[in-house]
Amino acid sequence: MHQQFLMETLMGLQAIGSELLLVVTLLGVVLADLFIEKTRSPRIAIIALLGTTMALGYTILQWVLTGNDTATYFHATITTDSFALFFKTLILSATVITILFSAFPTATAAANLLVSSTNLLMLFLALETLSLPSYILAGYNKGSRPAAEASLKYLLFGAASSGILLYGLSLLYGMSGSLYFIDIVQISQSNLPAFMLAMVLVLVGFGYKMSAVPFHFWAPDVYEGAPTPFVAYLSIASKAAGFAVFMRFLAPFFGVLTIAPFDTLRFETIMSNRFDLETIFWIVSILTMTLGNFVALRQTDFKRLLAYSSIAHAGYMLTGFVAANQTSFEAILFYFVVYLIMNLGVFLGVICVQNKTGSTAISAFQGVLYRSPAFAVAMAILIISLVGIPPTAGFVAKWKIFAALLEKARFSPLPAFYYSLALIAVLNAVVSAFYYLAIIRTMTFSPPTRETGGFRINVLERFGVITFAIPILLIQLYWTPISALAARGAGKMPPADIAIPEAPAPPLAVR
Amino acid sequence: MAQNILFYLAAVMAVATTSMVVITRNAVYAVLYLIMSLFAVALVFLSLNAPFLALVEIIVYAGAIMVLFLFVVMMLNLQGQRGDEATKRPTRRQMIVPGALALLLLILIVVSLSAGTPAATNAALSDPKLLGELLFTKHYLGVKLSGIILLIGTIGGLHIGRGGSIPSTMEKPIDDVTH
Repeated sequence: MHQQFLMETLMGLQAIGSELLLVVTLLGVVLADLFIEKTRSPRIAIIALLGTTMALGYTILQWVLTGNDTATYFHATITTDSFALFFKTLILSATVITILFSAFPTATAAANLLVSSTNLLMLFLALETLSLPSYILAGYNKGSRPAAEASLKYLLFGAASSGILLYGLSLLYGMSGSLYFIDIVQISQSNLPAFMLAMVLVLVGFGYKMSAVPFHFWAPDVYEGAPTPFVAYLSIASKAAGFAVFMRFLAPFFGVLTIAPFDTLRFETIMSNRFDLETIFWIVSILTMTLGNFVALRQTDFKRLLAYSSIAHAGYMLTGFVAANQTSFEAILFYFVVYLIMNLGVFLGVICVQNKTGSTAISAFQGVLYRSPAFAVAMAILIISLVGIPPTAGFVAKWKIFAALLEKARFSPLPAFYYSLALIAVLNAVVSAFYYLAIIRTMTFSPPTRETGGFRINVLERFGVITFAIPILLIQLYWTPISALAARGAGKMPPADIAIPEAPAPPLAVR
Repeated sequence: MAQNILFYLAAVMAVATTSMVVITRNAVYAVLYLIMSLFAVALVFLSLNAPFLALVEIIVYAGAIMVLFLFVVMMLNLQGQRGDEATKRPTRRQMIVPGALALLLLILIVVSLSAGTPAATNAALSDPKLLGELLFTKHYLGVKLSGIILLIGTIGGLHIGRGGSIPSTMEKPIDDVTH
């Protein structure tokens, strides 16, 4: 018995190898901080970078070697199926890139455990482990008022939403007597009102992480006040973790069984007792993208604008929950890959300009085109991709999400429900063009002012932003590898005719 | 039956004392009420056949954490700072909307839960040995993760608590290398 337990634990440790590496990195960074002289702090960053890169390598290796391994570890509290590995790779890539941006040591193995969790307890613990360092990092720059405000607001909102989430989870546990996602499906049939109440409470908790309206209030202040590299990390990793765990949580309910690591579910009973979460998502996603886009129109600070833009993007991705099928979940995963590239690229641009001018105002970008044409063009490509205009990957991502919606409408008894959402989403994309393109106008048509004229974009920065812009263009031409990855992540192997690439594969930034 | 009476007594006490925590303007009183509330919750655990959890609640929360809390509150000495948002009593108009929302939530909870399924009980809760076994086998990873949470909390507390500005890696802009 003991020997068996030992073996199981060893197997489990192997499964969470990348998380262990991150924890070791965290400890290494803490110790190194004690011993290495303060003037040589880049060395600490190198330790952090090394650790996270190793964790990323481990995850990719794990994915390549095991494929879609649906085994569960630690008494079925976590799993390492390809859905988890997809998001782990995504989050670790974001971590590695943000460390590169700024040489700042972050160690959040939590986000990784989060996407693997299949159990309420694990879910909550991992969520808290992700939140806690986020609160601290938001207020990292002591003595700065905006940073303190950001950190405090983040903490208070986070604590409140965690409490609400925990209340919802405890109701679910009380009703089902089980901590596992899969058992909770059963109670959706026995006690619907109580179940809906608990689900709404849980939605509040996740909505906070995803920065969905009306739980978005923290986002603009945190984005504005917190250190920019951390915001870049937050905009990807925190959101991805929130979406991933929510998708896994919901997968059993929506009958997307491949993400659920169990297959004992009776499909028909769930489908016939479908509760009305779709309507909730319909409302939340419309609110989220509309509010995000319209408030973004009035922003003058680039980071604040990106906060509202990230809220709007969360809204687009939430439409995938309305369709809630294999195609739409795949589309969300695809969207995340593209969002990672374009958003980190734009943030890198903001960091470059902020380092030179000390300002994150949009006006700081005036006449960047005259300073460095290549930099400005690369930024323009990334921004156009955020709008979703054709020659960029952003268009493909949006198109996939909306296509899933339209596909759902074709087979639905109530197509207007989906068509209206798709229409509103497209109109929202049009609205978003106003504020995104205004940035490009600032960069190109206004001549550089005295303040903004004084700086140069150096080669390294130019190269960095271009590195992000190129894949954005390439994905538009040839997105098969990434959509195949997304399909694998969502638990489905790609059809054979797509799997054989005919054109030579372009170099991929994200793998 | 006796258990039921104990439960309702403890529940009423918990609700009453917790409301007092929010209502009272004196921070020290609030902490004391919170300690009472924790005792009441411990009684609820007792009535649910979980004596171990009840004891842990009293020892850890009421005993250790709240004493620290009281210490901090007394050290900060928030008394006498009138006009402070925290000590100002909210006006009746300010209370209408949150009160209505809370009432709505209460009604929703009562209505939806009264359809009622029995609460899940776990035999392991009553026995410290079983609980320990459960924690270190089934929830092994969770226990480890809690440890990491505590570690991160310590690091964060250290960073915030350490005086002055420290030369940090984060404040170094990206182009430092190239200059």
